[in-house]
Amino acid sequence: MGKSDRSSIYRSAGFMVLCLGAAFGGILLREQQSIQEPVFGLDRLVASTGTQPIPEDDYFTELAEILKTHYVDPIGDEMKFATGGVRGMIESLGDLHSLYYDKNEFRLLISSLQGKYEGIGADLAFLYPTKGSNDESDAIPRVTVLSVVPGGPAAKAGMKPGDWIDSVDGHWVINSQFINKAREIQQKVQSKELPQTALDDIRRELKQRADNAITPVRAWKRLMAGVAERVEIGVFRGENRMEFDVGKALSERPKLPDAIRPVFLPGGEKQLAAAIAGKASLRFDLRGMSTGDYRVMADCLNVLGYKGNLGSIVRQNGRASIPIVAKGSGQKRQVVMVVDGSTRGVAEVFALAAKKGGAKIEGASANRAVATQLDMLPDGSGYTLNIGTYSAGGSK
Amino acid sequence: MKGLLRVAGVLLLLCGLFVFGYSWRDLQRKKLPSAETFSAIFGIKPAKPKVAPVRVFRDAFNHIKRDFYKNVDETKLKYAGLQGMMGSLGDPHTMFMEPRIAREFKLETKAQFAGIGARLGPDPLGARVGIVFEDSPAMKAGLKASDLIVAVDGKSVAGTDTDSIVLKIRGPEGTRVTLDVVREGEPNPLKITIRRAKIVTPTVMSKMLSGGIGYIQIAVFSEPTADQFEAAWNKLDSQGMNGLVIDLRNNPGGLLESVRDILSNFLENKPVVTLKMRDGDEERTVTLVGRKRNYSYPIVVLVNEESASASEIMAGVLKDYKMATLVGEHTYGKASVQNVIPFRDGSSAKITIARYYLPSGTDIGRKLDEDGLFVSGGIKVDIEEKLQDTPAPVLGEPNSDNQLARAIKVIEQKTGRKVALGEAQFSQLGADTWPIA
Repeated sequence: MGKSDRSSIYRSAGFMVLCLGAAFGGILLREQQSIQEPVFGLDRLVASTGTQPIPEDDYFTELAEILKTHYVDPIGDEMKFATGGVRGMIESLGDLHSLYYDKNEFRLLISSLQGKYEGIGADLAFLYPTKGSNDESDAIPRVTVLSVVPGGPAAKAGMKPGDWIDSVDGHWVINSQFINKAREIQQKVQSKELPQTALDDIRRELKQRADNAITPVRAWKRLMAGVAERVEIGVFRGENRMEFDVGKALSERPKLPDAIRPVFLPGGEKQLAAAIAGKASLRFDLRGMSTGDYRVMADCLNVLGYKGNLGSIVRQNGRASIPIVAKGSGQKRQVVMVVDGSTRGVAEVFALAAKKGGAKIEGASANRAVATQLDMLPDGSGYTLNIGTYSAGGSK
Repeated sequence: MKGLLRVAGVLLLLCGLFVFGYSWRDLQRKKLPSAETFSAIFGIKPAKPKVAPVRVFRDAFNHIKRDFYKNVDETKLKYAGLQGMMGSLGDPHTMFMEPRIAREFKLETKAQFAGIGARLGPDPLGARVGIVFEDSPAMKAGLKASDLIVAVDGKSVAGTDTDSIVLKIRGPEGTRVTLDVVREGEPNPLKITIRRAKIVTPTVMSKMLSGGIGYIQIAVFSEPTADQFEAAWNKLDSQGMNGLVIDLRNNPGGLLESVRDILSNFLENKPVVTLKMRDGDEERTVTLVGRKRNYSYPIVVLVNEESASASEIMAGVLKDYKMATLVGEHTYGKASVQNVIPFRDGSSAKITIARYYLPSGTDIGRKLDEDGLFVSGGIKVDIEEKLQDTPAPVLGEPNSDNQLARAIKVIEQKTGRKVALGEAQFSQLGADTWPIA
C-alpha cells in the first residue's frame, strides 16, 4: 500500500466523519431547540368514565385543541379563549364590583377614571334597590347615576345623581320595579281584591317588556359609548318616571382649582408624586370617583408620606383581612380630601385610609368603600375584582 | 484555483447535510421546514405574543381564587371559565356541560334506562304517582296513578325530593324494588314488588280529536322517537283519520337520524338536509326507501319559536316539498349541528361542527341585533297564529289552544268537512313533565 493511498483513505474517512457530523449536528441542534416547544396531542383526551378532577391548565389546553380541530369556523386568535374564560369566571361570581369589560368597554372605563367621558357624560353604577350588604344576589341591580359631569350632556338634559335607568331607546332595562308590581297584583287577585283581568293585563305587559328588554350591562354600554347620536332615556327619580332626550358628546370633568385628582391606574402613583412635589398642603377632589386598582391606591398612600397602620380590607367566610400598612417617608403634610355621595370604591378607601393617617375630609362619602383590583388582559379587555371592604379598625 | 473550488464544494456539501439533519424532524412528517425554523439557527426568535393564552387564563383563575373577598368553589370557577372560553366563539350552541348536565343530556338523547315506568311528582310524604306507562313493569305489578309511594325497599322516603326518590327506584335491569304504597280506600299501605326493566321514555303523545282529526305531539327527537311516531300514526289510521296535526311546538330538537327516519314516512330517497363541514366537505342526508306511507288527508304542522333544530328540519322539509301546511309562529332558527366530546371527569363539550341547509337551500340561521333581540331566522309559517295567553291555554286541547284550533280549521277548509270542537279534557297539572322512575 502506497503512502498516497493511505492518506487518501484517511482523507475519505475524515470527510465522511465530517459529513455525518454535520448531519447529526443539525439533528441535535433542532432537538435541543424543540425541547421548549410545547407539544399538544389528542392522546390526553381519551374519554373514560373516571371522575378525577382535571387541573384547569390541562383543561384549557385540551379544550382549546378540541375547538381548533372541530369547530365549524377557523378560530383565528386563540387569546379570545383566555379572555372569554376570564369573562366566564368573573361573571360566575355574581358580584357587582367584580366586572369584566370587553376591549371597548374597558377603554371607556379607563378614560372615565381619568375624567374624560363619551356618551351621556355620567358615572353609572350597578346598585341594588335597597341599601345593605355586599351580597344580595337575589335582587336585580339597577343602573344608577352616581354623578353627572357638570356641563356634560346628561347634566344639560337635567339628569341627576340618584336617577336610575328604566329604559334606553324604548328598550326596557330589566329591573325589579315592574316585576314587584306584577307580584303585588297577583297577590291582590288571589285575595279577590282585583279581578282576574288585572293579572292578565300585567302578565301581557310583562311579556311585551321582556320581549324587548336589554340587560343592565348593555344599557351601561349604550349610555357610556358614542359621541354623536341621541339617546332617549327613561329614568325613575324616586317614584316619578321621567324621560330625557340626551345628545351624546365628549365631556370632561372639571376639577376644583388647585385640587389634585389622583388616578388609581398603573403609573398613577408616579403622576401623584410629580403633582405633589414641593407642596406642604394638598387638596384632593375625589367627587365622581369610584373604582380603580387597589395596589396603585396603596402606593399613592405611600407617596403621600403616610407610615404605619391605616385600617384594613375586611373579607368574608373566614378569609383573613388585609391590613393597610403604609411605608411612606413619614413626612407630615396637610391633606384635605373633598368627597361627596359619588365618592366610593377605591377612591373612598383612599379617603378613609388617609383620614386615619391624619387627613381632613370635606363632605360625606357613600360608605361603599369596596376595594377592587383592576387588571388589563393582553387583548385590551380587562376586569375588576372585589377583594373586600374598608374598615378603619385593625385586622383580625 | 482548483483546490479552492474543492474546499468550497466540501463546505457546501457539509452545509447541505447540516440543513438536512436540521430539517429531519419536518421531513419525517412529510413537510418542508418553515422559514421560522431556520431563523432559529441564527438565534432569531419568532415574534410570539408576550403571554400564552393558557397563562392569562391560569393567572386570572389563581387571582380570583386567592384574592376575591370570599371563598370560591374552585370546580365551579373552573367550569365557569371553560363555559366562558367556549362562549367566546359567539355561538349559542357551542357550550361546556359540567358533569351533572352532561349526564342529563346523555339520558335525554338516549331516552331509555332501567326502572319501573311511571312518572313521579312531589308530595310531603314521599312521591305521588302521576302517570303509569302502558305495559310497563309498574302497570303489570298493579301500581296506579295517584298512588302515594312512602317507602322504597323498606326505607321511608318522607321529605325526600322527587329526583332522589326516582334515582332510588331506578336500578339495574332485572333487579327488584319493593314500594310501600298508600292508596285511597285501602286502610293499610300496600307492598308492591316490581321487577325493573328497560324503560323507553315516551317522546310521542297522540290522540284522536273529534271529527276524525288525529293529533301527534313530538316532544323531542331521541332514539326511540321514530318507532313511537310510526306506532302512533298506525293507531290513528286504524281509527279512521280525516286529517293529521303534528305538533312540534316547544320541541328543542334531538337526533338527526331520528328526524330522517320520521321523514322517510313522507318521502322516499329524497335529500332532507345538507351538512357543510368546516373543511368544505358536504354531507347529504337522504330519506330511507320502503317506509313511505299512503294517505290522502291533509297534514298540518304546528310550530313556534321554541321549535328548534331537528324540529325545524322536519317542518322545513315538509314545507319545502309542499307536504304540509305550517301553522303557528316562526321557528327558532338553529341551522347548525353539534358533536359532544366527553372529558374524563364526566363533563363534556358540545361543539358546532357543521351548518345545515334545507332542500330549498335557504339559510334559516337565527340573527340577533347587538342587544340580543331577534331580527330574523327560523322557518316562516304558512299561516301565522300567535298563541293567546289568556286564559292560560292547555296545549293539545282544541277549545283552549287557539293554534291547534286554527290547524283544525285549515284541515276543514281542505277537506270541506266541519269539525265541532270537543269538551275540554282535564289533565293533572304538570304530571306529563314529572320525572320518570
